[in-house]
Amino acid sequence: MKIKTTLLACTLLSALGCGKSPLLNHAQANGGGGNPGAPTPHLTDERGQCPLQFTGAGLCASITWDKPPVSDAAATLVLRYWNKDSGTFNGPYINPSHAVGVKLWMPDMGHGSSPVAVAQAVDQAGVAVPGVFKATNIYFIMPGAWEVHVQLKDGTTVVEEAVATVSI
Amino acid sequence: MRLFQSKPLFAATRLGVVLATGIAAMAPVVHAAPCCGGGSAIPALITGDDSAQLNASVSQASVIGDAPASGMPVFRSSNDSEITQAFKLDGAYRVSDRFQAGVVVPLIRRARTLTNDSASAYGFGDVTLAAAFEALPEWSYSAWKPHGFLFIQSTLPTSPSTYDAQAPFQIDARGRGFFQLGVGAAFLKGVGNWDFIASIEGHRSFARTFTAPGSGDVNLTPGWGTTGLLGVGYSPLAGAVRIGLGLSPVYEGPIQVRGEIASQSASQLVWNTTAQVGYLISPEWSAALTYTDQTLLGPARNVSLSRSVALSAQKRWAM
Repeated sequence: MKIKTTLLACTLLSALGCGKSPLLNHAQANGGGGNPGAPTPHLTDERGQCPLQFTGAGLCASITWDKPPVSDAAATLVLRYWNKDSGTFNGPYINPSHAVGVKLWMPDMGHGSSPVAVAQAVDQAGVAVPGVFKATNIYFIMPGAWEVHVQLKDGTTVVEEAVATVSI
Repeated sequence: MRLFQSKPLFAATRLGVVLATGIAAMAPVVHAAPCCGGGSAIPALITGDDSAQLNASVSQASVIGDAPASGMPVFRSSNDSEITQAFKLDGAYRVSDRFQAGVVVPLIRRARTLTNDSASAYGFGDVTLAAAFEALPEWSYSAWKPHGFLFIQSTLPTSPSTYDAQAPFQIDARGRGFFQLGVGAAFLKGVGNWDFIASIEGHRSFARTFTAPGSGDVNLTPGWGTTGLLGVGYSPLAGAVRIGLGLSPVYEGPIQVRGEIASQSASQLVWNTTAQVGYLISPEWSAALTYTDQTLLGPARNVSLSRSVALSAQKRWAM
């Protein structure tokens, strides 16, 4: 009698969560930290293309991942801006008239990540490189679909932004 | 005052005090987000003839993987460790014969270690206030009538959330970020050496605007959420030991985002499966060891999945 009751209770509890068990139906993360084979989305070398468009500012921008976007290591990226009429992916690069910002957002979860640091890139002599910015402290804190909001800002106000998507 | 207490009822009450310890620790990570050690499906109710009780628990939860909004969960790699440790004080006080009030104060430490980075932070989590009415008292023995409570509980956004976190990996997020108000009902029944608990709770989280340093405003409008709990316990030889199993699904509705970002999140669903051993040390003291696993049962959607262990002790003061 006791065995029957125990079995009944266990069966009842199991049946109530009758969907797919994550333990039995899951994929394993690759452990992509530092993996050079990880994806480099939104990178194109076609001249004249405009991967990220800032219509109001008359600019295009590209994202190049220095360290690839993975969930178990920090990523870094390089932003390059050029005039959408006279420039190309390969330059010449120009500084936007507003400050550059990068914000991560995970639409499904409804939250972002910790603040991303953005600074103008410098060459080996320590001289600022026009139109080129480096973003660090990029943490995609969990796998899933992420948005990278590349922003032109006036203080805390976003003047214009373009959004790239990344799947981790 | 209890007018009559039959022998079966005494046995049930004895089970009840062990179960009460279990209730307090039944769902240490019921919120869908892994950040927030506070909050539970059901307040730590006074279920026996006590005037007050205080429950102290320590727990550690490890994130095992992440379930997307659609598709297969992904378990994290071995070089990605995320843990949440919580010390929680959970007190309840009998205001009158059938009314009680309680408060939960969690202290939370979170840590994450990746391939080349690590970060940790600690501080208070979200404080929860609760009040309960003993709607179905056990004044006399009944073969079928359960011991029933109606409760209301509110979670206050007293700690940083994922929306104002500044540290890497948002490791300083310890709360959900919203004022939350919920109502529910809990029913307990002892039958011989067995006891059963069923609870249902519904809550509403309220809109809030966040302004992170250097960023514009983000206005978030969360929706409704609900939590259920079914549990069964067995006390061998009607003794001081209780072995329990529990199942607690948690659903959180989508969040509307306006302002610097405009989007709508997907809903979240996770199933907490709990195994527990409780021990009635004395009429005033009991303890419980609880294991909770979010990877066993599904479906799980749009959540991080964790496993946790909690050790709790409870002191009760008789009326």
